[in-house]
Amino acid sequence: MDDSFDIKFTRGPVVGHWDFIKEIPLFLNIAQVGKRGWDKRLQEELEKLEYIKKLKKDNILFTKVEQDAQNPRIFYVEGSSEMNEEIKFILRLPIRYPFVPPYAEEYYYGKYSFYSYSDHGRVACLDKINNRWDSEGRHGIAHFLAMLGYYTALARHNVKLSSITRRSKRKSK
Amino acid sequence: MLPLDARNQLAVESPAMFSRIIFAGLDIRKLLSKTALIGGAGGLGVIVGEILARTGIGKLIIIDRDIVEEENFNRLVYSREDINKPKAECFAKKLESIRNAPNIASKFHLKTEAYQEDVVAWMELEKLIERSDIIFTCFDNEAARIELNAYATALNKPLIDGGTSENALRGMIITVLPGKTPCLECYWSNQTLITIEEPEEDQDLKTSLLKVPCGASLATTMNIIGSIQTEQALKILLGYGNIIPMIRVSLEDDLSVTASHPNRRSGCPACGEL
Repeated sequence: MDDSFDIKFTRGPVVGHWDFIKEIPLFLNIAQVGKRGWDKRLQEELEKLEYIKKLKKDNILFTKVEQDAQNPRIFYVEGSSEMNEEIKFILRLPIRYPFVPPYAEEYYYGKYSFYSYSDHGRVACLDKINNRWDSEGRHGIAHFLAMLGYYTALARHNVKLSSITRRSKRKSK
Repeated sequence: MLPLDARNQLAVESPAMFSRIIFAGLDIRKLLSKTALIGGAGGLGVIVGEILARTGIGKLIIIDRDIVEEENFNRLVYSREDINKPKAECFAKKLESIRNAPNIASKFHLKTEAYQEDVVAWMELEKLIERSDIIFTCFDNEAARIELNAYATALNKPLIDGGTSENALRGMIITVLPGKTPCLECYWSNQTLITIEEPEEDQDLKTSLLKVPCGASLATTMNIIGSIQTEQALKILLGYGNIIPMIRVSLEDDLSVTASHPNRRSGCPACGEL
């Protein structure tokens, strides 16, 4: 029985909505962690995270984004996919954040992933999101999570396509 | 460099394992008082660490977030009994076993500190860099490099970065002397424009097959890059020779080594105010 692949999924509407990322307003407060203006920036980060609750249309629902009690550069993120796969990872803010994007350590989306090849599968979407990130610091954690959802959806879509192709080749032999 | 007549005397006073190094003119007394921090105990980090340990560095601080896996066996140092153990700890133990023999006086022993940590947003990192005389970035990702570069430039510590290309046949060594040569961020200007529409290349992703990720790594290239990184460090620590800010090595088709002296970037967020 051919039960591994959801053909409808791959032929249906493309998953991932770039429009959603555009819906999150750009940040007005530009400040680095622990430096002047960070309090206001953090407040704005928390406000913008409200947009992430709508992210379910991108196949991921982030239910928790919580700052570490001791380390202001670490956040714990939890959520679930549309197939109720658990999503849980640590979000780290690099020293140059918000001028460079955060990264998601040990990010997994069910058994699928979309990772930077150079990090042996442990740092999600680094290359892709790097290229999309606003170097003026107007993107924040909410934008990052939205991009993560977008690229994960694309990756999942492609993994399925790839698997189907391999299988059909095997059948044709 | 040691004068010729001083080499014989120092060689007699030192363990035999250092004699060839002393005859080459390196003053191991200076090296024994130095601390090096190695970020990343992968293909490059293990080369840098082993050469420094065998040459006579006093202390090594090794940081790596990973554990040893079978895919690491194409590099040096690690063996089967290390599988699933933290890389930093395994590496530190091996280096100590090379240097710290019972017949060698404790003042010649190697001291190590090993941390299984991700350097990004790690609160201890600044203190460790402050205690170090030289920093090596041997990571496989840009975020970790930028993190060490920021602290090293702020604390005026020399930093030597090594990296190899996607096909593992080319490599680059960048030596950062804060305020004198370009820092890592001088090279990596992160000027991007916000993408309003869905990026075209992402549209392609939807219709093409996902390329299977593959991080190529060859011990041959790694050894050359790691050796040059260490050579630059010895020059800085012992104060001889000229420092080259950027060295490119290519093993593709032919063999080429190119040295260049680029300028610092004005307005660099890390070193612009130095």
